[in-house]
Amino acid sequence: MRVMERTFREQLFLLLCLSVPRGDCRYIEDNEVPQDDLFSVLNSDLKRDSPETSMYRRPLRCVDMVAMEGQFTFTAPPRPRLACAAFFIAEPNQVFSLEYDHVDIDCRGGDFIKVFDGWVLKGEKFPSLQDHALPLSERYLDYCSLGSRGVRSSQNVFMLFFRVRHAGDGFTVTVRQHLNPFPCNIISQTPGGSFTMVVPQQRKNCSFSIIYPAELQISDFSLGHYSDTTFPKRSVMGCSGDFVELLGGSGLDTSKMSPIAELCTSFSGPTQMKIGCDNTVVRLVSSGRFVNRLTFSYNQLDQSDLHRIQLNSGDDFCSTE
Amino acid sequence: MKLNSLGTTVILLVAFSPRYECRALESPHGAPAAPPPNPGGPRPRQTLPLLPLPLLLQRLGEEYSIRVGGHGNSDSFGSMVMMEAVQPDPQPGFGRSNSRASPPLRPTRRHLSAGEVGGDTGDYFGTRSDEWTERARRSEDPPISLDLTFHLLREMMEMSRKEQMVIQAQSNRRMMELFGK
Repeated sequence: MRVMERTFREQLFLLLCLSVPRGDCRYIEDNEVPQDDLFSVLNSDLKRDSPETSMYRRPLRCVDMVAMEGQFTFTAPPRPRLACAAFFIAEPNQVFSLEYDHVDIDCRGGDFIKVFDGWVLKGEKFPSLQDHALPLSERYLDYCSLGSRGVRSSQNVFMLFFRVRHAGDGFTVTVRQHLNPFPCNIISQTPGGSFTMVVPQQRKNCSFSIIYPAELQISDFSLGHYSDTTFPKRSVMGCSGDFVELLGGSGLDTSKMSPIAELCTSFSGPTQMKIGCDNTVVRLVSSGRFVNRLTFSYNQLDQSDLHRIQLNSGDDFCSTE
Repeated sequence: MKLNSLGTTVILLVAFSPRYECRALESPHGAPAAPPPNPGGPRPRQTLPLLPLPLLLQRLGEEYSIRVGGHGNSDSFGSMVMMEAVQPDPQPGFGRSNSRASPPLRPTRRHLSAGEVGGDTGDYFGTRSDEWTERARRSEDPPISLDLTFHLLREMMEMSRKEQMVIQAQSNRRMMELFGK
């Protein structure tokens, strides 16, 4: 009898263990839980939200500017169309990646989709040929030749050129933004702001382009060690090695812009300059020997300042002060 | 003995009895149900009507054109020029490639009149010449550029910033609705 009781207790215990609900089968009933209560965060809608379903989507225009990541679809309208172009620009410390989700174009009939690593305007490229790691031909990526392989930009801007002639044809691309820890060539999204550019012992030239007449304040320029605390030298004779160039011009290509000033030595403390050009560029030239750091802020010149500077300059070159 | 067998049988029956499927939280009364998945692709969750481009588009005909070629300067707005062509090597990403230049093409110019400028950016280009069409078909991936004034570029940048702020505000509002109450 005692053995039987013991066996029965063991079986009962086993039965109880097997009957306990498992955690992954538990669900929440909301019979009395208000919709607006905290438990609403466990709503099935939210649970099923994935990056793909919450992605920003909109049609892509023939000439367009996009500043965010998302999915963009171009569909050729009924009337015949010529080539189109879309600019993409991100925050200075970001780069883009592009994936083709769907493409329906007639490559043999002359349709094309090309991705350009940078911006090109009136034949002038940013970054310039000298400042980009790739030759020009490799910066154009043609879908019809290379297929639907993913692309990643080298800086915070890139362009999409496309031509789709047949109505209803088109394509869909997904564009994402990724953090770039050491941004080099940048076009500013805004006419004002501040930025710190760091070049970690790399031999390269990095440009920060402000497509506005701007007032620059360079607050810190260091070559990895504090070598000179005197006032910065604005040299017209040219610097060598590691230095900062201030450029001004009316195009995107920094190699075609006129140098306004060069800062040859490290310093800490603001130096200010007003540049009345359509494009104002701060360029950091690095030899690779130092960890260079440059901090500056910029604001768009107001009309009165711009007018005064232009009056005082009196020559064809975009004026400075 | 019989009691043991009976107990074992009961245990086995309980352990292997069919259970109800684990249910996710269902929508309560009055709340909108989740839409079914779109078989054609992910359902659009954040779509906005395009921001209006009123005055901007009317001025596009005066201020920009697409240049296929990227060399030389356009001496007037609304012209299309094709120059030399470059054939990129089929390699993935922005990587190494070999390029060869095809013979340069004779430039073809077409000036667009103001009447061809419409509300849609695509209307700006109007009808193309047959000669340009033929050369476009025969061209081998020419480098291309866009002729656009800085003024128009700045306006487009400002519009894209506004779009970005609108989307961010919508996202913030959605987050507040979910967590802020």
